[in-house]
Amino acid sequence: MVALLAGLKLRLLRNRRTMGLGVAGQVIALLLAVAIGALVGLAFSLLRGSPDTAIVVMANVSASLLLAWMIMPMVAFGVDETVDPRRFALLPIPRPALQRGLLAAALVGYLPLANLVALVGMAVGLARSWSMLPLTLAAALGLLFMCVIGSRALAATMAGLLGSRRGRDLGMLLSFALFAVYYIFSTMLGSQRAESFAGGAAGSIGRVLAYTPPGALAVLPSDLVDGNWPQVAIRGALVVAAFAVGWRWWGWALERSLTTVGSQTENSAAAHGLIDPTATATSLRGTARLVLGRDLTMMWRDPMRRMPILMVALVGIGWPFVVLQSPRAAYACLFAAVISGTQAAGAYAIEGSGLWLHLVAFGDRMRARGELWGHAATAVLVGGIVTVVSILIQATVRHGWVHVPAVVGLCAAGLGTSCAAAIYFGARLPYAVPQSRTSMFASRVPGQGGRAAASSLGVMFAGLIGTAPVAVLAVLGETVNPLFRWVTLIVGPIVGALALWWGVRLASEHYVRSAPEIFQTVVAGDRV
Amino acid sequence: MSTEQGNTTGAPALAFRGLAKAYGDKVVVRGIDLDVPTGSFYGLVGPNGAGKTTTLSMVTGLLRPNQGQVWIHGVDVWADPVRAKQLMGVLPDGLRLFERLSGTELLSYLGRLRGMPVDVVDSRSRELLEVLDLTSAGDKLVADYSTGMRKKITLATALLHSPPLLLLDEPLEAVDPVSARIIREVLQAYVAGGRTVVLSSHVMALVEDLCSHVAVMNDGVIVTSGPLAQVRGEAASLDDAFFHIVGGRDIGQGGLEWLRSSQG
Repeated sequence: MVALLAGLKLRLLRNRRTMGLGVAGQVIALLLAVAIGALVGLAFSLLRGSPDTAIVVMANVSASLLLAWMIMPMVAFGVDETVDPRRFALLPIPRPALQRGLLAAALVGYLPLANLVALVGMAVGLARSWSMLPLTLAAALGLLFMCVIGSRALAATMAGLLGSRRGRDLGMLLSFALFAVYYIFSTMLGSQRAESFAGGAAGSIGRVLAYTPPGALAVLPSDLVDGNWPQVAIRGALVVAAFAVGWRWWGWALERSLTTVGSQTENSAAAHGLIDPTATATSLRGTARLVLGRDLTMMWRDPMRRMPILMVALVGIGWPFVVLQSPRAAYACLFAAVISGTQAAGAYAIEGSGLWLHLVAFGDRMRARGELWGHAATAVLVGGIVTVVSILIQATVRHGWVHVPAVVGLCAAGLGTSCAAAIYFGARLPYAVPQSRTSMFASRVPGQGGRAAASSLGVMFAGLIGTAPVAVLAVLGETVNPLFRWVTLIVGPIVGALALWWGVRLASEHYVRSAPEIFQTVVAGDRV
Repeated sequence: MSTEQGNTTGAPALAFRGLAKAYGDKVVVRGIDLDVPTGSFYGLVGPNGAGKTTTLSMVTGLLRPNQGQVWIHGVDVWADPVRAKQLMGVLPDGLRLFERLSGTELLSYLGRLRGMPVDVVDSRSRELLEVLDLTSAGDKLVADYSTGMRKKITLATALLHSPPLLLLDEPLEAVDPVSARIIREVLQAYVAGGRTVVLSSHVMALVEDLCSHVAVMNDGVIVTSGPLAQVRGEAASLDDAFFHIVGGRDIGQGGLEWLRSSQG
């Protein structure tokens, strides 16, 4: 069973069109995994010269690694087909044999390979002498097994939830939380305070984590070599207990997931929607209001639509703190405006095959234009709020109120032109957005990578070109005459609005002519 | 049949001529013709891969044909899509809905997107949800609907604007018996009012039970079409007739001997 399931995993990996390149993509992914693992491992091995630091760091790393492995199935459930034990429910395989087979399958793949290479580096970093290396290698291998067992036990326990809509929503929110924590932490690392944190708090945390099972595994070889027998006994017991409990937990969860079938439907009561109850598509304005309300409602309820907005808010507000530390920092809010505008990209693609509902309902220019104005209004409304908040924060924190008029004008141009470009390319060069949502990492549809890249580049360059004239005015306001700041305030919104009008007009004309072709392109998202 | 068949009087509910579709070298539909009389309950049957869904997609404007023309009550679907879309209600197979709207919101949104007055949309939605036994699920997200509920809410969206022609792709596929019965009754009442239903299916018993006319498709070609009795001919059932029309092969006594063995 071990060989069979490991072989199954290998076959699944081989059948995957990695990077859309077939075998070449798989070789690249394999080399990439080894290279990343080797880089991380090299960094770990460099700690060999300072054993005390190495132990503290490795205790932190070990605990973090276990945590990462346990979270991974929640954010990427469905990426690895062998994670969901319910797929094996109908096969007459004894549970212990299945468990051993799934363990072997979990150790096959790019991620375990990268982990293994990095852990070899960790073993080298922990080995104070070459004679100690077998011990640290055994500990590193044990850590990998501990991670796999913990991860699979949690995934089997939560299989029912993770396979459901709510589970997928939870995974998306968790992904965002991880991204937010990473972003905030990496921003902090750039500051002075982070150094003292790393030196002080991380050390204390590391010493505590050395008494958790993964941390104990990192410290155990050192205790053994030093003859620190009481510590060896305590940490050894912790590790053995963790393996025993983890294996039994996984077995129990497997048994349960193989014999329990969840409900196919879920109870839900839709919260009050935001669709304007009086809007009807009898006019351009009415159609736009109707679509705006629907977009806001679905954005509120669907993590797949909400997540990008939250990321835009986080990055848009955080970015100016990183790039500029002067009263002119508010200019960095242009980034928030531009990425907010690009959220209108894929206005058709995000519906997946659901676009047929629009396709059979209307085919006239007025409603085609109204629909796009609705999508644009959604991006501008949400992006406008994010940008204004970002500007206000920067103006207050950096005492840069004098720059605000020019910044507002520049951001209005950036928001309008990037939104216009996104709307235009969304119709002219549409690409499918994966609809399965078994994983937020499944972001592309095989065979459409080039199209997606071209469309994204088009949006970026068209947005930059559209904003450039207003940026010149803002520069003049800072270098030649402050009056230009007020000129920027007036010209910026006009440029943004004109770009939007033009983008919507061109895109809607194309939609009226080519709606079936757009539909056939985006419908591919249903298959991913 | 000319492109300018704007007058709906006397024209078939649905007609197409020379309809063809190929994906690269793979020809899926091979230049087919059909007339669907107004007031008929027309079944489009055929084995998997026969080209039924592709044909219906071209008829409903979701897929552009390589060749051929389609008229709905005399209106050319590809030359005058705005009018054609007002004349048809569509229930496709396997396509998504706006999953994060509730059933009520979906109907309300689509009705108003068609430009219908709010009060008309509201009253029709209520009635459709009641008839289709979805009232208690009206506030539930479509994402959480069962297969049967999804078929019923899609049928409601197709009926909402009261079109003269319904085009349904596998309307009863994977639907529970209770929901199936409700859908059948709604469709029978709809046809009894003088309107037309075209449904595709590979369930012969369903087609034989419901339809007045039938067209048999196989390998991208309409092999035969006409009133049900005519297509069935001397065969005991439509199933038998279909089996012989498409050239099905009986397993007979050859092969799969191991299945007849008492040992597993």
